Amino acid sequence: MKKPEEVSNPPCHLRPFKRSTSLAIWPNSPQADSGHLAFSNKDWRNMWPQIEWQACNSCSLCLLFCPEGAISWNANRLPIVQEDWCKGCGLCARECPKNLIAMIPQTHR
Amino acid sequence: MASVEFLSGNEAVAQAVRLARPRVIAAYPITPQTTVVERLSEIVEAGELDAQFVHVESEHSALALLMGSAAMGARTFTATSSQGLLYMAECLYYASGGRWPLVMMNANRALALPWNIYGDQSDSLALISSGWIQAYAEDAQEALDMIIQAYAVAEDIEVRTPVLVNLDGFVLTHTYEAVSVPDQLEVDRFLPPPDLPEGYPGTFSMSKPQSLAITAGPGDYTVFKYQQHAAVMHSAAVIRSVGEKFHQHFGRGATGLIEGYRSEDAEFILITLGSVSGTVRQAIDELRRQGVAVGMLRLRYLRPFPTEELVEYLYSSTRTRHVQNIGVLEKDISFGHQGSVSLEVKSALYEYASRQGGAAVPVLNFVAGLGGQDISGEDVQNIFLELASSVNAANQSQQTLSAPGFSDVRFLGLEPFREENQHQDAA
Ligand code: SF4
Ligand code: SF4
Repeated sequence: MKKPEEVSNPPCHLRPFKRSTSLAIWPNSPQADSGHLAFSNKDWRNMWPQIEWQACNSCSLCLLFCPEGAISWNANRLPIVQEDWCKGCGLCARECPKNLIAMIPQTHR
Repeated sequence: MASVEFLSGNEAVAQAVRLARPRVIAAYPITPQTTVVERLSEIVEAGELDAQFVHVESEHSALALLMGSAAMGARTFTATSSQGLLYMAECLYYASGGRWPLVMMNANRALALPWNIYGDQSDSLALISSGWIQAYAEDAQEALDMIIQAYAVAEDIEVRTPVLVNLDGFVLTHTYEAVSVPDQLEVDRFLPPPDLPEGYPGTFSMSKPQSLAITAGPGDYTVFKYQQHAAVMHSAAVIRSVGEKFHQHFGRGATGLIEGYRSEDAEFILITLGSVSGTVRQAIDELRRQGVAVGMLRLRYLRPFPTEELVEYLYSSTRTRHVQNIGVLEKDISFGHQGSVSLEVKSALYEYASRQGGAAVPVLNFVAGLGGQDISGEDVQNIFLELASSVNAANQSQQTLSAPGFSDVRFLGLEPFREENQHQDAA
């Protein structure tokens, strides 16, 4: 068993839906590999969670509550938000017991 | 060794399902389907079939549950009828679009209103474009055989399309006949194992996680729908080869999507489907004794529509007589136009005629058996006689066409009403 602090939480990747003009390599059912995003959410997101790291005690709540799995740990076990995945819903800000997350307009970043 | 048993159509289906060994059965009871799932619940309870039998709260849930089961790689079964099939409608498209190889039996029954629990084909024909392969059984033996073959067709890797096997409500679902029931070993040799193989498209895999039932935008959607269409078109070849393989294994059954009866030298051909074909055979034998060259083409499958086979039957160079007139006998009306099956047949003939550059054979549409209306041997003989007499009476059929309130569709049992109507027009 790895110790919790060693568990890596690699950022998810954008992988556009594979289009082909050959039916032979077109998906043969409406299905696609999991763990990938076909389109980035950054172009339509209105708000962005800005995290104040200084007082963060790495309690994990933001990471666990994020419905998109957009939050992962950095090397110092501090929460970072994945640019392509966050949809700006603000759940993390709501759940942080220390109120360290501020939702700011995407355009003001 | 196969055993011969005295079974109703529904019981024959239940036996076929037992032999196909589905892992999951989900159903909601509705007349005249009920006895299929009743029998299956007994079979599961008795331990003769190792399946999860789920009593769901609706037909919609039944099909939704089976999609989930198929996504886990399980062979499945459900059955329904009439209002239940329509209640499932949303899931029918979902299942065919998701390409899950489900098999369902439908007891053909009339649609409300007026409320009516008796047989006709309005239910399945309303959903002919739902992406399911549609089969129509003539008798209990064929129902049993079609269900077993349906699994082989649906699960074929190139097809991956759900199959709906239709039995006429009551006339077929509830009448008894001697049925040859194969033994388990024979069916196991014929069908693939009841668990879809690892990596089968449309199923979950622990080693390669996938999101099923994804969204597709305007451009991509068309490609998925084209693939679906191509798969159903291709299924015609698979239906034939599965039928031939079945014939080799069990020594019986038609292999084509159409079955002809005394049609090679017939001038007047009745195209029909389902259990009424038995009555039509008898009427043909009787009229043949009187010297009228009549025959039948029975549509065993409506999707994929067997255009090529139909054309081959009607225009083959080996025919000894030309076809003069065609009738389409069906238990359905597409309100404001004509019977759905007649539309299918005419479309196929038009395609042939426009390719060959000639006139298509005239087609008369007979709508009969609505809401359980009896279709007697005499009725069918009269239909043939009308086909024979309208050859030399082109003007007459013109009149019928233009008569207000009546298109060229003949409704069985409305003849007195038509006469009254014509009198009123004349007055
Ligand atoms: S705003 Fe929503 S989506 Fe973005 S990180 Fe927070 S919880 Fe996740
Ligand atoms: S919820 Fe707040 S305190 Fe907890 S890890 Fe996230 S940012 Fe840090």
